[in-house]
Amino acid sequence: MWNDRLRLSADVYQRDTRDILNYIPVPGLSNLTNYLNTNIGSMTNKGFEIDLNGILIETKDMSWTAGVNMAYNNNKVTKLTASDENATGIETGGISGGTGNNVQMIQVDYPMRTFYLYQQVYDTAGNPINGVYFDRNNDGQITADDRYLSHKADADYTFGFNTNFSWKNWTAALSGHASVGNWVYNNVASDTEMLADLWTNQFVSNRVSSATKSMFTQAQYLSDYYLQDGSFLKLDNFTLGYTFPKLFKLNADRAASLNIFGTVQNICTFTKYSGIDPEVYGGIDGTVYPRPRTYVAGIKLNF
Amino acid sequence: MKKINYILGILAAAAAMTSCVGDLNVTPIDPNANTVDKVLTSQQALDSYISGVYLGFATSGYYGPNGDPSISGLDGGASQYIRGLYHHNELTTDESVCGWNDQTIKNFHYMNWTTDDTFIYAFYSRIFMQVSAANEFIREVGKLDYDATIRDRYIAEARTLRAIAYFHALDNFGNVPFADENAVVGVNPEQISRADLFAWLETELKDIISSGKLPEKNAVVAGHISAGAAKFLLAKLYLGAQVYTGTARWNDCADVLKDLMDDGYSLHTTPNGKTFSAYQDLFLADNDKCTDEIIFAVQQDGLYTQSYGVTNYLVFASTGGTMNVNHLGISSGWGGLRTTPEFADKFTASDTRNLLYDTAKSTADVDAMPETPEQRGDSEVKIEKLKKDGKYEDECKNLRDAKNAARKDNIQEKSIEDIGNFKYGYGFQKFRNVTSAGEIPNMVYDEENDQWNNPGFVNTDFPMMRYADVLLMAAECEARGASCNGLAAFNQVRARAGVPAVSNLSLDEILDERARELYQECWRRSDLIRFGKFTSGYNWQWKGETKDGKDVESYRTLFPIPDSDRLANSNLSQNEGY
Repeated sequence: MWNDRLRLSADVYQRDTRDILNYIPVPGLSNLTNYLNTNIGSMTNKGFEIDLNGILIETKDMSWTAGVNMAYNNNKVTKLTASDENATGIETGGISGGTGNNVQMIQVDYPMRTFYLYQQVYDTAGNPINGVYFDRNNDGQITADDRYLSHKADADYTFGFNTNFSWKNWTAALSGHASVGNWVYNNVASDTEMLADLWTNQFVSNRVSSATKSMFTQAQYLSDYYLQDGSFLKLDNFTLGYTFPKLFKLNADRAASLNIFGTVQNICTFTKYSGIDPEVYGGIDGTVYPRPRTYVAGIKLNF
Repeated sequence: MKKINYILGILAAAAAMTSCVGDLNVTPIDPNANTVDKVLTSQQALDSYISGVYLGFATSGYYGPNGDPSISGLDGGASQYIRGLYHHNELTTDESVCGWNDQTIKNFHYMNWTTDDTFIYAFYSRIFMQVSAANEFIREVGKLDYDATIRDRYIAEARTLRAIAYFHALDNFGNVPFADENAVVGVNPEQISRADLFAWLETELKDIISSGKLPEKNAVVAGHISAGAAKFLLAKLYLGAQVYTGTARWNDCADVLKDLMDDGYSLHTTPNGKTFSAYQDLFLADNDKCTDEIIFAVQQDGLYTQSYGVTNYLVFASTGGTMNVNHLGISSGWGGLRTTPEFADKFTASDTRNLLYDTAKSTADVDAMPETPEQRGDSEVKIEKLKKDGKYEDECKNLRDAKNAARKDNIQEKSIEDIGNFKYGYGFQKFRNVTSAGEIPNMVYDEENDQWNNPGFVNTDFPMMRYADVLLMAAECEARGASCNGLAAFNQVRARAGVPAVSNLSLDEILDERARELYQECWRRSDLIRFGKFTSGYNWQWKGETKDGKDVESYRTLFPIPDSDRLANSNLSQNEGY
């Protein structure tokens, strides 16, 4: 199109997966243990991917190219063989803190890794109330039946973009990516906010600073207070360079060139998520190693 | 995203190859494959195999205390069978609280556990894993062409072990899934009603006893099941019949007890050594010597049978605060278990069974705390090293500071102001990892400092069935109208404890006597239920999550069928009230 100035590709797909494996409770007495890797069901993934690349400016001194890609995926569990139709599904998504706590559920007609938590009740000032949850089924007490299926860990949309610009001897490049619709359970906060443990066995434990916001005396691992929108936009890489094409003469027809450049990686993240990084596979933020921001300055000499 | 789908697809493909369908039920043709008929050919092999079934009570799994536990969903140590038994039958009563912040552990004492409690699911899973292991043993060994007398004795042992697990299921969960050795493997089991399970257990135990496959008193292999264990269990079944079925069976209970009283068991009344009383001998590192009184015990060995449950849990979790770990024979305490003032008040001054750690004992231990490394018993090598590094004075100061801090903050108090603080509520010093001769077994040599340190695992067995309980059950049957010489039996127990004989039996006194004799042995909850004092009629500190205690819902006499199993098996309906 327009002398190859713009290129577009699009894919649409549907993938059906059978016999998904998961480590789940098995009926008592049917085995010599209570958890087994089991083929629990089927799911479908539907979506599309669009890839767009363009040369925006191309002149003798100046060039500017840009590329964007976008992917949409819709994931849904279609069958569960390990539980009966009337059952509520299979718990998954173990967290650290307490023992045997799961925050996600696999359920027919819902996406894989849908969060399954209690609905936190807040006071009039908007602060969460320690251990008070919404009685969703209206039976007058808070039981496991009051947990509900809410958001999912995987993104609806993911984006990537990159752009290159050069003018005379200057070059600049920027790239980044974004994700929309992924939710994150902040396990770091949920496991280190309870104030009851502040003083144990004659020593003071470290608590995260957000503890003063929740003011939970006991750990509230299964509260949706810790479930947050993890949509983000990240600027990953920016490079700026300048080339001295003829630094000095090597011989009659060759000259040495010098290229000076500076790069920043992991520049910034725009997100509403309160933890250190919303980009967590599986949606449970507990053991992520913080991604460093890296500055690189370089000199390249070509003889 | 697409990539992830591919990976899931590959996983799914790999999984599909392991799917089980009927046509995979074939015998391996590999001549080196170990199949049952090739392995179980000697008595030694049978011994190994039955050990696996016994191990279900004794450890968390087959790979040591830190290896893979047999069940998942909870920390391996915390999910151990006897530890679960203690959670359900002691933490729920006036006898014990646990001060840890381990998820829902306090809910046992608060009596507000929910259907999704992980501790309850772990214990429930332990029980049924134990039943499954016994079923498998009975099924496979039953097919063997082997000397019938020996084979049938092993099978009778496995059947009794299974009956113990089913008894715990009956007592704690009531209406549970049921399968015996004839059930089809891998099929979701059906639920059995509490009354039907009672009937099955009665028939099963009577058959084990009358078939005569088990030795009368002492088992052929030390620590194994004898007929006495089956009789004891049958007596427990009849004792609770009113609760389990609605119909009391006191006379039947008395008959079994009379039979058991003729089998040669007796109270252990002569101390094995000079340091401890005869009663204490039953809970020491060499309590395997007390075969006169202990009918069945879960074995522990500091070197070969280690776990973070059973008595290891009882000794370590009971140790904390100002206690001197050398008195308990362990390396360090976990500081968790204490008792309520209501239970502490049940002892009279002369009662030698009072092994609670009270304010006086706590103060005495603080007084005796070391102020120098020498007093602590450090080796010359270690002291020399401290002096050489210039740390000797610092160490002395640390010790003095610790002593002063302990005196100020850690002296044991009777009332439980705060469950999370070990100093509130008297502690337990009943179970110890010290022998009757006063020695600590399996001490660990520390080469660097040339000294011997206390071990990390105990030798003490867990006495699950004791003759003293037989005598107290007889007293109860007598008090409830049966005839079995119960008054004499009752006074026999009291005499050993150093408390005066009584001239007639009162039910309240029997309940209290059971508490004084059997505390920490996991009978308290069922005793309180049988006497109608569990959910209401008697309260203790922090019952119902209030300091002075309050009544709780009556349906809490049974634990719920865990959500996880109801999700996995649609045949199960929930117990009433949950």
